[in-house]
Amino acid sequence: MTLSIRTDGLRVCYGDTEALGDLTLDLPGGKIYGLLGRNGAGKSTLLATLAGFRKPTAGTVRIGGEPIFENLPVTSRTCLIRDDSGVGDTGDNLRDILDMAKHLRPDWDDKYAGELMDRFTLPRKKTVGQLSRGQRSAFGVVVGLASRAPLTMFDEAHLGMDAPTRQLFLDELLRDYLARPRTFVISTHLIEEQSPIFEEVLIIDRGRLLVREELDELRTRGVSVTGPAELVEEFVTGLTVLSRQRLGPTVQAMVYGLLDEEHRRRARAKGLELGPVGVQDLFIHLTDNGRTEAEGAIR
Amino acid sequence: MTRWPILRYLLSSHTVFLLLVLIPIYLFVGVVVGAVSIYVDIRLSGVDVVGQVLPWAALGYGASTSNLLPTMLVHGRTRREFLTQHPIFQVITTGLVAALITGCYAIETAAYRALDWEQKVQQQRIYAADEYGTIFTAYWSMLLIWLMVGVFVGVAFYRWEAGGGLALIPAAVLVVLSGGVNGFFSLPFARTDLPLLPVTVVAVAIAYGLLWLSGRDVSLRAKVA
Repeated sequence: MTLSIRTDGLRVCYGDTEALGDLTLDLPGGKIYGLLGRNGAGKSTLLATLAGFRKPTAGTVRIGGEPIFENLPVTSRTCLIRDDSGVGDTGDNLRDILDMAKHLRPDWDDKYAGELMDRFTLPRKKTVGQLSRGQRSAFGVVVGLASRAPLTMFDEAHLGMDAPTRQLFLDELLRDYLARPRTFVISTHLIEEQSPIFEEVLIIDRGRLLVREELDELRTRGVSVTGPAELVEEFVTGLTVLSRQRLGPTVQAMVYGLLDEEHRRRARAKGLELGPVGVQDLFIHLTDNGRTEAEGAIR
Repeated sequence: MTRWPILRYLLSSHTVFLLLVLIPIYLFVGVVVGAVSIYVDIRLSGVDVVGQVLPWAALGYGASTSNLLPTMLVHGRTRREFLTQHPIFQVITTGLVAALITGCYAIETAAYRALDWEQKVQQQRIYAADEYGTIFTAYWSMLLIWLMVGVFVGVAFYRWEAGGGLALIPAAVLVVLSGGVNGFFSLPFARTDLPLLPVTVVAVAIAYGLLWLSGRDVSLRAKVA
């Protein structure tokens, strides 16, 4: 079972500050969505509203076609794990929290939770307060995945995890998604590391949707140009260069925008290698101060 | 889906925990009274002295419930469920605790009589040490009102942060009123002549109404403990 997400004119304010403004989304179920945005862009507010943690100031949120706020059949099948996880009190031990989740979650898989606890080598008898930051995050991931909620969302759930644990998180998420398809939304700042598992990417900025595209489609919006430094610099003159990486005499430049056939012919003639652009480079470009121009170009 | 999941969880964990904490406390009281009796004549009910602390403990425990509400929401439950099932847990648990305490009074009465000790309760109490029906009612009333008030105050602070301090005004009124009526406070304006049951029902209803207003659409904070 998967759940779709739909928002219409969603607006959320904190006092005088508008965190989300007139946000309209229509996301079919059964996909892994990556939610990207700079600090304060409104990602956490959006996820909290999608999970029913917060009532919108205006507009509607529908999960699986039903309103989410205070709607038990929907909230019980929606799971949001935040960077602070919040799955239990700091004085509760992990075994008790898993037991609580078993009481509360209709799709809870206790056996799978046990397997994940072993894979993440989490001590069941310790309290949440006794765990390291990374262990707390890993425990949040265990609860999120074992909830088997048809809509599962992770908001910077990897914070504090070391690289192998983050990789385990992504591998496990993908493995379970393939075995039991459902809707995932993953908010992250680790764009290059986590974007390979995204099917669609949503970029929000200042409370508004900037980009929504299939990952592969998004990556074709830019080109990486690799070759000898002088040739690359000559080639990219007049193009929008997002970033450059130098390794000895070789330079890789990330160029924003589609290359026309003339540019491609010139690249081939100079022996330059063309490839996909990094999502992170695109993200930085799209959300910087000059984003307005890029926004117009990408849509 | 399991019916009443929050209530079931609370009864199977919190209620059991609270009872398991209270039993050794009262056993410890028995040991202390026995030790004191070596040096002085016993005239006071040890159970009654400890009973003075319990409503305060209920108030504090209730206030800590502000951590439980967001946890329930994180696990996919709703505020409405919590605000329906938690009060039922409160009624059942305070009833069980009141029964346990009443049983302790009864055991103490038997022991004191066997040892020919005087089992006086504090002067402001509305019961004697062997009036078990009134003891049970007074404790149940006190614990339930104060627990409900504690939950209300905790949720109000969670919702309004410093602004939740305004909740202390109605909370103080309910605490003082119920403490006086139940004979837990010795106050010059305490009214021990008011009917216990109606006062309890009204106080609980007011506290619950305030709790409902505070929690019915509360947003989860960005950071949860």
